[in-house]
Formats: sequence, structure tokens, C-alpha cells
Amino acid sequence: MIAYAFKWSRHNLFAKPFDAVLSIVVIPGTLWLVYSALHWALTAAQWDVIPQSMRVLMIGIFPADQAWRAWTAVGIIGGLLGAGLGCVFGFRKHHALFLALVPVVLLIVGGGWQVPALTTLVMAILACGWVLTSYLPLARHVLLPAAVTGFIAVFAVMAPPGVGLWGGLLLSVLLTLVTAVLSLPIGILLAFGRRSRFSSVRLICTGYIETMRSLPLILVVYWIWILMPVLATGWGLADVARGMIGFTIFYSAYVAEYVRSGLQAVPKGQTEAARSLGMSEFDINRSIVLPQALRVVVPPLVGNVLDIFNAAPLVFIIGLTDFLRAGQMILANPQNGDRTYEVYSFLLLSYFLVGSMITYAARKLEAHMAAGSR
Amino acid sequence: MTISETNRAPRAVGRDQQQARRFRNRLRHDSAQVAIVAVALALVALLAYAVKEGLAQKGIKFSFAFLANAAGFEISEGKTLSFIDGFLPSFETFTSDRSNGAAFVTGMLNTVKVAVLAIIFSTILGTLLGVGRLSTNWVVRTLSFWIVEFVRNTPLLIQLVFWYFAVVLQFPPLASAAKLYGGLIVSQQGLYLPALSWEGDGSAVSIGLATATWVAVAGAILDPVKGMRRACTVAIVILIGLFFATGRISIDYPVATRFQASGGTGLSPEMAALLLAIVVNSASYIAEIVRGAIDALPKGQWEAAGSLGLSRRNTVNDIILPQVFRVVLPSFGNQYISLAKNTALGIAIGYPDLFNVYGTVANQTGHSLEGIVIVMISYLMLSWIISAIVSWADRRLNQKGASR
Amino acid sequence: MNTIVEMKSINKFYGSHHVLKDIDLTVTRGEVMVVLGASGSGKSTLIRCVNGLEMYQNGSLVVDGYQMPVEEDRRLGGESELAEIRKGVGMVFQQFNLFPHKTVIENITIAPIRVRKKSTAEAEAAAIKLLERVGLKDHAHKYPGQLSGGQQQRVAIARSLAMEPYLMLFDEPTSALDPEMVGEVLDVMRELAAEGMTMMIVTHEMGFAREVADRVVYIDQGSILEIAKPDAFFDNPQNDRARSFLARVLKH
Repeated sequence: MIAYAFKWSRHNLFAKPFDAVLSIVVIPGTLWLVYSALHWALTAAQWDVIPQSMRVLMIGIFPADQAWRAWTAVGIIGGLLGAGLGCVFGFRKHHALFLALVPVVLLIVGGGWQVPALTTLVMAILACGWVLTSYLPLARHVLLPAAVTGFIAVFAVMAPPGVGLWGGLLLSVLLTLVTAVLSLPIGILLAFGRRSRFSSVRLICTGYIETMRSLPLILVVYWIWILMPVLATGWGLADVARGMIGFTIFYSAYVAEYVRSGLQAVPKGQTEAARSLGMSEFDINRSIVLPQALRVVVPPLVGNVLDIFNAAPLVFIIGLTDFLRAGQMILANPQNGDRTYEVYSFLLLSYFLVGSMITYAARKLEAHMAAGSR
Repeated sequence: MTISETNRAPRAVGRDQQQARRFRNRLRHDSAQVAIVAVALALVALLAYAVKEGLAQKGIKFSFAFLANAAGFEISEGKTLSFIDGFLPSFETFTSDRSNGAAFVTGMLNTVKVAVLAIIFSTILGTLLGVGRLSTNWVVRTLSFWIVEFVRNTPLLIQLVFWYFAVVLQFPPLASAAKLYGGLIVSQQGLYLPALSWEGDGSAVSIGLATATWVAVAGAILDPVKGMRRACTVAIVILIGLFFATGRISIDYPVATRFQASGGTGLSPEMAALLLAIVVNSASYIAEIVRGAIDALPKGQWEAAGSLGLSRRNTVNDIILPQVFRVVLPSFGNQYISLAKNTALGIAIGYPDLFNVYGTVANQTGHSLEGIVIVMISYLMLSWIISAIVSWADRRLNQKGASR
Repeated sequence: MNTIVEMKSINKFYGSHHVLKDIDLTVTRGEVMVVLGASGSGKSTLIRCVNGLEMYQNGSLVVDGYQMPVEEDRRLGGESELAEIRKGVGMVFQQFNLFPHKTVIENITIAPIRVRKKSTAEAEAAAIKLLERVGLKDHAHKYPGQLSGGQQQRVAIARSLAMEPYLMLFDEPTSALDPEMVGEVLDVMRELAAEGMTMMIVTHEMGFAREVADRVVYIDQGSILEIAKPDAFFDNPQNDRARSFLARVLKH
């Protein structure tokens, strides 16, 4: 054992003089950082602020007695997510284990029995969707209508108390969902527009895409926010809706570029073969080119969803209370004034957890695609 | 199987019909073009009309006249351009009696300042991290991997807020500030670095030396002959040495007193946090670009170098990295553009960048729509300038005919 | 109306590169015409012009009584008119170009359903018959990626035949195949020729060319140098360059 450790470290840490110097400088520094972080987290930090303000972090100022609506929405989203995963990855034992772990962790962390119980329910729905589409290929055919229905149901459930009350992590999730869903068709249209036969269409689409990609998102969101009431006087569009429009307008340009790269990746022979069969240009694009292009760009599009989720906190600019703002609201309470590190660490770690899972899924998808295409 | 018979009546193929078809197609194509342009223009006109009406209801008139009015507010840091004395613009501190236009200029300069510094530092750090992920040293490799993963999977805005509230603002106050090596002062009130200061007078010698330096810098970058560029580089070193030797340039160390620091170059806490956040964030993306490019190199390159008996370090330095830098520049350019866009997040911690200044001006004057036009054009220009410079550098790097 | 393809002094350029030079050629109903030539001679371009996959700059090309527009007209549209002619002209590609995201039977039925507006049941019944003919009935529900090259090419032929074409174009249909799979594809083509299908074939299989062709066209650097009966061409080529071409390809 010791001999192995010795051999390993000689190979991996002290292989060359330069490596040895690096190791001697970097290892103590890293160890010190990790030690002080852990030391703080386990002794000095007062984590009780997190469970105490969990509701604010998760749903912002959404009324507590309406929380069932949020749980229902999360359940629907979970079911659809599971169904989507099942189309690509078969349901395995370790997936079930991971899902079961989530409520257990919540139970250990504390905060009563209610949250873990409801989380168990959500995870169960997720697993159901996953199992359904992994073992019943027929279920995959109804996924699209089911997704549309679920998408509408989420909003039907969440809207009644007033969209202005949406907040916390839930707001980030809903914003990401809407943006991801709406920017896909617009992005596809823009991508096709960029290779249109008509130079005017090409010019307009290219101009739109390039302009959006040159501007900061925060600027676009803010601009749409102040412009909407001027344009649509009397509509009384809620801030949330205006934010979603801004995000969609911005991310459509990015989706368009991903889709365009996918369109370029479809071999020319595919179009030629379809043409030689006498198919119309519309049919060729819809049934031959687009499905193959979308298949290629699924991993980058999943990465794009992560980008949207990571950009969601900047809705603070239009006065919305998302996850980050909810955290800052808690810190603004003088009682929690000295919990800066606790709250920000929690925010960062939560985002890291979600982000890593999305990145992991995107990588698996990419590997899956690479293995599937011959 | 049936082989379909072609029993259709023979179609006329005469010249006239061909002409007619050509005319018909052209007419159809052109009328579609005209219709598309007309619809687009109508939409824009409708939009403009709606905006005008909407503003009229609020009693605001769309006009850029407010730019000349006095701003009436202070900007916490940054210079503005002044054309008052002479033809050459000079940098002057922004004060509240300056115009709104000057405020926009200050914001723009602040944005550019952060962007340029961040581009330089994130390129260096990013390349180190990217190469670090291929290191033979396990700790370096693992550390680089986790830094990149963590940064890429968390929102930049939270990183920025964390850097500001949890790091920079937790530095010791200036009174008990840490004085680090080489005169660096780290405090809540900001970072202070030693600076070069120009002590030269307007004498012919000073101006001659300065001009010679600029010529040498231009030559070192632009001259097509490699030997000439080397000569210019040597000349720069000698000239700079001369500046120091004759006392025309000296190092100005910052000195901290109880409430303020004087001398040297200061970074406000906001700028320090913004710079830190953007550099670390962009460096992670650049590291990923570098690693991706190294991965994309044919395995044969490593094998060929190995079969020639080159060490790993020589392989990386002489074979791999030169090829990598040839292909990554366009991706770097995209990252630089998104970096420049990210500086707009500075508003979250109160850094007076363009977007922040715009917000203040819009609040004070009510001309938020006109301001947006200015800000949009500024960012578009910034993006275009960056991409123009990068593609110029890319062409230059690849002009020698080395294939990619 | 026995002429199906009629080319009159067709010229094609890629930029300044003159790819086809004053091509005159007619193909009559039921004829099997094999186009031979070295690689880069323009023979693929020639047959790709016939269904409008390539545009030509001047001259006249009439397919089944339909005047193919020249490039200048194509730029302004007219794709729908081309689709009309392509319905009756099948094409088989060197790289098969099956649709990888559709099963074998979907590959075959998509055009009859979308273009000929057949019902799914009708199209599938016809597709099964075609698959039976090319000996791949058992593979109807596989994806192209699960088939060998030879099988894919046979599916591609079935896909073209499903549109009931009166003219079939073959663009080096066996060049991308492993040698042991060439035979199965040539067998299908041989059968097709025996049934009286009009065919234009670009190939490097000289034995096959000699066996099935009614006429052989030799093309070099974009010009037709010789049109002859296969026996005459292979035994006694009139043109010097054709002679040296044959000497090169028949040596092994």
C-alpha cells in the first residue's frame, strides 16, 4: 500500500523537477485553502439561516398557503424531465438510487418531514416518466403533446395568485423553461432565414442574430422591459412576462446559431437525394434536414439551457426577486447581516449542483450521439 | 414493377416560352423581395410610431438634445475626454458640471478599461489553466479541472457578487491594510499598485525619446520583416531603459495613510471585484477552448513527436501549442466579445460602466430610449472592433501559408 | 416521342473552370447508356445535370419534353417546376444518401407519400414488394446504419423505384462498396435493364458496362470523344485518348 502510494506520487507528483516544484508550491496552498474552508464550514459557520429561509430562497414572496401550486408545477416539470431523459438513457438502478438519495439528504439536513415527503413524491413522478419512456417506445410518440400540455398546465397552476409573486429558485426555473421552449422555434426560423433564397430575408435574419450576439443580455432585457409599456400601452404586461420576452428575444439568436451549425453538418447528399425524389423544398427541410440537424445540436442546446439558467439572476435589473435576490433579501435582514458567507456559499453550491447535472447530461448526450452515428 | 410511361403531351420548348418563363420567375422573385422589404420597413415604421405615441402620452419628446445638458451627478471613478485645449483630446476627471454626453464617454471608457485589462489577464490565466489540465502533475491537473468546472457551472453574476461582498469588502480597512511585496496595498477601499509616472518635460529630448518609442512599438507589431520586428523589440527595451536612467519615468509607490492612499495606481473595490470575477470566469472558458483545441489535434502529432524522442514538455511547447494558437484565435475572439458584454454586469455592484452611467442619466433626464440607442451602438462598435482586431491577428498569424 | 433526354451543346463552368464543353447527347426510351471516363472528366456532372442537381450555363437540355432552365433562371426560383421533372427521374448516388434517421421502409415510402400523395398503406405495400425484389424484405424496419454498404445501395435503388421513374440515373453506384458487395448491386441493376428501364450509368465496372450497355459514351476533360456500341468501343476504340484510358483500366 505504502509502496503503491510512493510509486503513484513519484509518477504523478514528482515525475520531473518542474513537477516537483509545482507540487511543493501548489499542494500546501490547496490543502490550506481546503482546510480553512472546511474548518469554517464545520465550526464557525451558522448554517441555521439556510433552512430558516428556505421558503424565501425557493419561491420568494409567493404566498405560503399557495405553496402547493409550486409543488404541483415542480411535479409536472419533474415528470416531463424524466420522460425526456428516458428517450435517450434507459432507466438503471443507479438512477433510482440517485433519485432516492435526494429526499434522504433533505431529511438529514433538516427542515421537518413535509419537504422530504413532497420531494419523494416529485422524484417518484420523475422516475415514473423515466421508466415509461425507457420501456415503452410508444410513450415517446405522445411526449411532444404531453410536453405542450404540461407546459401549459404549469402556467395554469402557477398563474392564479399573480405572476408578480413568482420568485426564488422557482422563478429561475420557470424563466429558463419558457426561454428554452420559446427560443427553439424562433431560433429554427432564424437559422433557416439565414440561408433563405431571398437576400432580404438573409440580411434581416443575419442582422438580427449578429446584433443580439453583440449586445449584453442585461441590456436587452432592460430595454425590452422599458420598451414594452411604451409599445403596448394599456396591456399591463407583468415584469415577469417582459423579462421572459427579453430573454427569448436574446437567446433565439444563440439558438439560431447552434441550429445553423447543425444544418451545415447535414451532408449535402441528403438534400440531393431528397431532391432527386422530387420532394418539395419545404418537405426536404422539414423531414430530412431539420431532424438530422436538431439531433446534432441537442448537446449544445442543452448547454444553452444551462447558459439561460445561469443568466437568470440578472432579472434583478427589472426588479424581480430570483434566487440570488432572495438570498440578498435574507442578508438585508439585520438579524442575518453577518451570514454573508453562509448564504453566498449556499447559492453558489446550489447553482453548481444544478449546473453540473445539466453539463453532465449534455456530455452524456454528446457521447451517446457520437456512439450512435455511424 | 411498373415503369411509368411518359404519355404526357410534349411540352412546348420554344424560345418564346423560355423567355416567358424567365420573365415569370424573375417577376415572382422580385415581387417577393419587394414584399419582404416592405413588410420589414412597415414593421419598423409601426414600431417607431408606437414609440413616438407612447412617449407623447408621457409628454416626452424623442431627442438627443439632453446630451449637451449638464449632468448634475457625480461618477465615482473614471475620466472623460476633453477637447477644450488643442486638437488632441485629454483625459480629465468627470465632474457634475460636465455634460450628459461626457458622462456617457466616462462610462464607455470605464467599460473599455475593464474589458482590455480583463482580456489580457484572462488570456494568460486561461492558457495556463488549459495547459494545466494536460499537466503530468496530478494536483495541477485536478485543480485546473475543478476550477474550470466550478466557474463554468455557476452564474457569473453570483461569482461577481461573491467576489465583491465576500472577498473584496472583507479585506482589512485601509488603516490596517496589508502592505504586500513591491508596494501593493490590499484594502477594503481598493487595491493600490505601484505605477509608472512620467516626469519628463516638454524638452526636445523627451519628445524625441517618446516618439522613438512609439515608432519602435509600431514597428515591433506591424513590420512584415521578422528581423525588423526583433530589432524594434530590442530598441523598445533600450529606450525604456533610457527613460528610467534619465529619470524621465520613475516608479511611484502608493502610500497608505489612515483614510486614503496616495500615489501609485488605485483600483476601486468595485473595479477590483469586477476585474477578478470577469478574469476568472473568462479564463475558465478560454481554458476550455485551449483544451478543446489540444484534444482536437490529431493523435498522430503526439505520436510523431514521441517517436522522434521529444520530451513531453518539448512536445507541448514546440509541437502542440503553436498549432493550437493557430486555431483558437477565432474562438478567443468570441470569448473576448462575450467578456466585453459581461462588463455590463458591473451595475450589480455599482461599478460605473456604460450601462450604469446610462441608468443614472436615464433616471435624471427621462430619456431612457435615446440613451439605449447610444448604449446599443457603443456595444455594437465595441464588439465589432474586438472581432476586427482578432480577425486581423488571425489573418496575420496564418498568412505564412501554414495550413490549419 | 421516343427521346427521353436530349442535350444540345451544353456548357457548364465552375467559376472559370470549363466542366462540360458542348455536350450533344440523346437517350431514347429503354436504352441503357453507360458513361465512361477518368475521374474528374465531368461524367458525374453530366448525369447530375439531367435531374437538375447541377446547373448548366448555356445550351439546351430537354428531359421528357421538359426544358431544364439554365443557371440564370434557376437563381430566381423555379424549384417547384424542377420537382415535377424529378418525380419521374430516379437517381442512385455513390454514397447511397439514405436518410439515417428513418427506417428502411420509411426511406422508401416518404417520397410516394409526400410527393405522390399515396396513402401510407398503399405506399408500404409497394415498398415491401420492392424490398422483396432487391432481396431485403427482412430488413424493412432496420435503420440504414444497421445495413452493409451493398444492402444500403439496394435500398437506395428501391427508394428510387418507388417513385415509378421512367429514367434512372446511376452515379458510380458501386464505387463506395467493398469488392464483395459490388455483385449484389450490379445484379439488381442488370435485372432492371432487362426489364426495359431507361438508364444512364456512370461506372468503373468495365465488364458490367460491356454487358448491359446499349451504347457507351466516353468523356474526357468535359467533352464527349466517342459514342459507340459497347463491343465496338471496347474492342476497337476510335479515339486515341479512349484507347489509352481502356489500356489503363483494363490492365488489371
